[in-house]
Amino acid sequence: MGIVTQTTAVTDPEAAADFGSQLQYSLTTVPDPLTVSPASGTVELGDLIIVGSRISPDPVETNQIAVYVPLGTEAWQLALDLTGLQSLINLTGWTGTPDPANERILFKPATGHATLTPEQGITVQLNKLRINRQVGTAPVVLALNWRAPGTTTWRTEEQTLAIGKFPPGFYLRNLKAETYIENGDPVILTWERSTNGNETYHLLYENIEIDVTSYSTFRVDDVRRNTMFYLRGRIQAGTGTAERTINTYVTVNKPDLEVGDLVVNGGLTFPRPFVQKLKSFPAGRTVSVTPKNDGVLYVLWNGGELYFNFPDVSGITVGPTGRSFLAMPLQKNASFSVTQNQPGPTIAWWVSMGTPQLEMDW
Amino acid sequence: MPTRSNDTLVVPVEVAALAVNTRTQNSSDRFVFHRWQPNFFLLQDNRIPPEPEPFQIDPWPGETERRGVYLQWQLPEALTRGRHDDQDGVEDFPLVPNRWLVVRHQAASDTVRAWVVESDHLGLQTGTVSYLDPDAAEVTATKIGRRHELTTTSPWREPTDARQPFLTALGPGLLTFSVYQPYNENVFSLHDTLDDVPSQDKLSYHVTGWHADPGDDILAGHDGQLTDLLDTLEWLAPTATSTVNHCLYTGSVLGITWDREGPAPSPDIVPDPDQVAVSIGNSAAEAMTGLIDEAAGPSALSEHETRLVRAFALGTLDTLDRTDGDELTDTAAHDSGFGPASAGYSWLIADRSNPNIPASLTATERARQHAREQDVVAELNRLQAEHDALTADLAAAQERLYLLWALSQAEKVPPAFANRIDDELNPDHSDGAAGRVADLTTRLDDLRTSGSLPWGTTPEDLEDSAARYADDHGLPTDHLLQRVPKAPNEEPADPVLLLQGAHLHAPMTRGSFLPCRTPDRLVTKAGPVTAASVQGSVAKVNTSADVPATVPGLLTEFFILDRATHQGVGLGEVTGTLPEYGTEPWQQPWQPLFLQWAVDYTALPYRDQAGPHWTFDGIRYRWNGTGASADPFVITGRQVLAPTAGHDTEGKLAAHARHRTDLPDLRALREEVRNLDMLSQRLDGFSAFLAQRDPRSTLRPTGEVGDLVGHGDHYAPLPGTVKFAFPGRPPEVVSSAFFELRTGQLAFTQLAVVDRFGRAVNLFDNPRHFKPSRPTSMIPDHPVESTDTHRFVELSPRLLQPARLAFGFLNATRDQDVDLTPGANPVCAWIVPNRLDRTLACYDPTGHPWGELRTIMQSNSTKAVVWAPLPGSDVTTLAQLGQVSPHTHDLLAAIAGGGQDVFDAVRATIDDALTTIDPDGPDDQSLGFFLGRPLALVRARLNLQLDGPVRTSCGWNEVLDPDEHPPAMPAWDWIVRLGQATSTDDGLVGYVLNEDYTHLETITTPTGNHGGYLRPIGTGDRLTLAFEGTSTATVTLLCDPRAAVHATTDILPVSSVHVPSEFTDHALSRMAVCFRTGPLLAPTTPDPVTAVLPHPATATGSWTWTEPAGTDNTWRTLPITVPDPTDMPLGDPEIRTGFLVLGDAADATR
Repeated sequence: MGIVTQTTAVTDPEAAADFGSQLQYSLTTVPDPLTVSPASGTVELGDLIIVGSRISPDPVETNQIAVYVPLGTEAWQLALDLTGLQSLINLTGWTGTPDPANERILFKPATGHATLTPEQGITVQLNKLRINRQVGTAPVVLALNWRAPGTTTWRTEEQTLAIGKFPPGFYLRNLKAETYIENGDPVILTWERSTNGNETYHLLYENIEIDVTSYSTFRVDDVRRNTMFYLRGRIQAGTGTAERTINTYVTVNKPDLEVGDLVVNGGLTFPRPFVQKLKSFPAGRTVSVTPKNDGVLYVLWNGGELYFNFPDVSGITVGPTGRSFLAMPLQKNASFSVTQNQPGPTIAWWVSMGTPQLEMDW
Repeated sequence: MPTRSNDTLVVPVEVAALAVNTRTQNSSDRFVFHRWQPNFFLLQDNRIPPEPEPFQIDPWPGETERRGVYLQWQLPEALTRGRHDDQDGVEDFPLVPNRWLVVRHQAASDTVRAWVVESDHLGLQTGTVSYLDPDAAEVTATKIGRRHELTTTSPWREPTDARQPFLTALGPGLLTFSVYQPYNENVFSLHDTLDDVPSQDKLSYHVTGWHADPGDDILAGHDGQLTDLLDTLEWLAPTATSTVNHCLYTGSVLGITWDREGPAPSPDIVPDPDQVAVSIGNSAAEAMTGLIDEAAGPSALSEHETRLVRAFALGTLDTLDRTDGDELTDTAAHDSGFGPASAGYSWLIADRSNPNIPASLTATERARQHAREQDVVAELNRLQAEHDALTADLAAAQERLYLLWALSQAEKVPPAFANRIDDELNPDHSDGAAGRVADLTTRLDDLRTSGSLPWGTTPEDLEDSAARYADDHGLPTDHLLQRVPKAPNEEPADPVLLLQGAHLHAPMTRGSFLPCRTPDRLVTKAGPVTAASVQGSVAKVNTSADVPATVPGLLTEFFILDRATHQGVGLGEVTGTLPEYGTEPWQQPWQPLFLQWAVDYTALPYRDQAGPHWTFDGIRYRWNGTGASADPFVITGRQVLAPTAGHDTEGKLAAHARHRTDLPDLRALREEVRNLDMLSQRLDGFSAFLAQRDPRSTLRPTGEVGDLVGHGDHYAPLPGTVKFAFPGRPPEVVSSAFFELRTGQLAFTQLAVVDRFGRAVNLFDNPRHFKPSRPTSMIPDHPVESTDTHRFVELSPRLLQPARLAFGFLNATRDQDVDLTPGANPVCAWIVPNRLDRTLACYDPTGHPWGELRTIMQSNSTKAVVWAPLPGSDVTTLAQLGQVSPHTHDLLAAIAGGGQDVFDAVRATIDDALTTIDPDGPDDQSLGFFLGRPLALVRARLNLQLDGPVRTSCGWNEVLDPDEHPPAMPAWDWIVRLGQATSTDDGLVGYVLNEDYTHLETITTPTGNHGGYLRPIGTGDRLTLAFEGTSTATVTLLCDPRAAVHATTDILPVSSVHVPSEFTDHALSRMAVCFRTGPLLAPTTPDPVTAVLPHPATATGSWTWTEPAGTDNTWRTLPITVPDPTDMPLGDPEIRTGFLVLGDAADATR
């Protein structure tokens, strides 16, 4: 289970290096999710823990990391102010300094600049943030000043984390499912969520979105692929909307697979028999055929013509030249019809790229 | 044999060693670590103060490389003292040693390791702690301090590229640079990771410091008066000769127990947070009372003892037994929450003539001379007022210039600001801030150098200048012009936190001179351990090359002492003199240095459209619980803790005992008090934050702007935010909140005591359960939250700039300032309640009788209150009185017009008030039967004044056009309560406000049927003033001149005015009280002519008889011969009507 919206940092594409951004960020909040402050009285405090990781194999120099926190009382702003904020950074010799004049927290090395090596992680913490009183989602911007070693010009890479602020009592957690199923088995998802009245919940997987506001459990049938199930909770208060998405991953044993190009340099084995011998086509009758898989149709007949009619495509007539042989590749579910104009011995084989057969309506 | 030099003084330094093993590092029980370091790149790149804000701390637990021993040496006090002068900014902090030899000795294995700390090494890559390059023209961050390991092959050699010496105890301008170890690693401290040491061992360290350039030594180049220099330094070195010209600073710490994975080192005096009592107050003195209760439990002191302690702490013990003793203590507590700020000066003439030499001038000449002197003083005071106003304007203009300059340094500025700031900072632009400072500076300089008023920057210069001025203006040489400060402006101070039980490290001062030694006094033998037996150890330290020649001798002493300690040999019998420090067994140090605090502050509205939300109860403002309060926010601070409470209490004890012979010997108690385990600190920065200021050290302007700004204290502004959210569009500019006043409630959310090594004790875990001891005046009637209300501390309204209540006298007839008007006298008249005659007698300001108000029976059988002249008076009617003293007339006419009831009520009320002013009554009881104390009727003016222009917002949107964003506060009315009803120190009987003679405001509750003429002052809400320039009040005070008249506002300390004796003494001595007498039969004696009649028996005064001598208002005064009832009558009796006159007694009445 994890938090999705908060961990998706939007990177300035122009600033991104070959390996994506200079630093990849992930976020944790305490509490999780952040709770807005009550309408009056003591302010709720929240902590942001941001971990930046460098994936690139090359080192990079930095002289500053700034975390911009929108301040104010609006839904799109995160904290009332930076007073009382306590910042921490795990790098020795760096200091964290709230800079309210620029609505940011500055992290700087005391050596002027420092080198971030590959695989190095930076953890910065903003503790005791005074969360404002409006439910909403606030963009926190991470700005990294960086340059390649040996260069002199500093560039700034900005990434944005959207941070939701939820009303007290809101929760969405423990999205669970059987993590390992057989192909085609159903999955029963369960979760815990608050039902204070304004929340809506949607289950998302593949291209499907299901309103599950009224449920805390849901059955999904015939799961054939490894699937990430997302459960998105959304709450609106006033003009502000906060959204929290949690997810769980279900692994399917021998899942269905859909790939782009497939190049097999070694052997390719189909684990099941795939040759289907078909009956002769009845003379003068049109037979509908639907391949349930990709494959090749082989037909051997003697006398007469075979007329193949593909929807949206001109029909083709094969024969009559005595003994005829036809090998025709077919796409899954690309239905067509066949008509043999005179009786005669016909032998047909369906060589399928998998188990499913060729379906004919006779 | 070690080399010894007779030109060296060995100065002891205290060395502390914090042993951090795994258990210590990860402790979170009693203490944690709050360590932080400055980063001057913040200043260089972002113009942000280099010191982190409070609670911005470095990660500590789990960092294995941070284990080991942290060794810090403390510079002698003499090297940490300097002077900062607002006028010329002199900072004469002495250079401090910049080379330190550090030797570690493991006695069991006789293993030695040594380093030389090059304290003033600068290098971004090679230095240790962030620092400011002292030689760079611009702000340039670098790092300071490194260490060099001494080995047999690597002796210490001075670098060839050394800079000019620059290192002082202040370092780059950080107050705690030399004492907070994370700030000075490899400068005045060293972290020994102990990687080469067994996991369990005993360690000792020795430190010796010197100047790389002997010419920088504090003793170098002395003029042969070494003793005087040593006295100045407060060093004691009886064996030092005048050849001594340099110092070695040396100290040791012996027997550190090191157990890397073992228990936390002990003993450890770090306090238990539960045992630390916390109290808050306007001052340390006020907080102390609550703290004693808090520390020892609610019943530790009886109510009486609490009262005594409070009075003692606040300095009112001497007056506590008076009836108004508690009120005086309350006032002292209130006033301790303010600090003075100069309001300028006034001049007076001090008569230094010898009273035994007869005056050479005639009375007329004396009067002429007096008039001339008054002219001179009046003119001088006018010029001085002009000078003081210019000075205040200049200070305000400099503050504004600094403010604008500081804003111009911001990383992002609004375009509108950027467009205009150049003009503001250009001294040639007369309408700008810099131009204004330049103009004011010139005008002030002109005034000072023109000779139009005396001026000097030292007392001697001022005295000389005043003497020249007096001579130029024809004043006698024995009549000296003296400049005296005016009643100061008062600046509200931040509250004080007082801690007891935080384990004081050392008293505020040593209390005695620091014993230093010459090298021949070093220890050379301790029991069986001799110099020869440690020679091998000494030899392991490579002291060749650039290490002072005396160092081996110091090392010899160190190894002797360490080995002796290790072998259990007592140090009582040693050859030589033991060093002042470092021979006691080691213990884990706990040296409280900082108080870090965070409060949730809820700013409460003082007033809004609905009106005020605070109510004045006559003493202080209390929040009604109404009005919409803004979101609370956090204010944090970090202050250096000081054991001032003990120091201060000791001083009070000394003052209490001075000239007292009835007290036991208090020396032991004073010493105990000096070491009192109390630490206190003002929450400095609290008000600064509300005033949009950041109190941390930061940049100051240099060059032309720097010269104009001067060297005063200025805090960096907090102007708000500038956000360039959308490219191409104007930025969003948001000003920081502007607070008109400090009015609110606070609750502590964090409180930590941090020591010199960064060990910290959090004083509470759950802020909702924290219960600081609060004085009554800080307990809110309406806490901002309804739960855990013990947390909240109410801060009554306070201005965020200095101000004062100007309470001064006016000329009785024309309402001119007495100080500025030659010959002015504020006394309109004297009013004497004649109890015998039931009249109110009235005298002129010099004590001559004018007349009296008395009740007569009119022809229509009704009573009336009328004016009747007294003997010798030309004022025969009230109308005539109006011509000579309009205010006296207006008062008496109103009383007379009210008829007998009002008249009686006024007399009764005056008598009531006099009873309060002097509850014991006169010594001469019969005198009290006849008359009451003469009361002065004086004119005065009250005016609330701000020190300089009103504070305006320094938010981005307002700062350039303050006039377009005027604050609301100056128009707000503040109650001024005159008089203190229960105080014997207050002489007010009543007053008339703003010439409204239809009412007399009375200090006591009026009695009788006065028809509303008399009104009790109560909480004083009929007299309100605002700070706006025209808001003043004039009052006609009826008061006993022996006591001051007090004005209570709460927002300022209690002000008082006292009628100067020059206006009272002469009049009181002259005043004679007349008792209408007759008709009676009384003869006269022929020679001398005396009236023969009895007179009342009084122990005080002399009686005479005065009677009309004709119809032309002439009077004859006769001495009285008291008839002897046993003798024959003297002379022929005549029917007489006149006055029995009592002279020389008015001043003795009460």
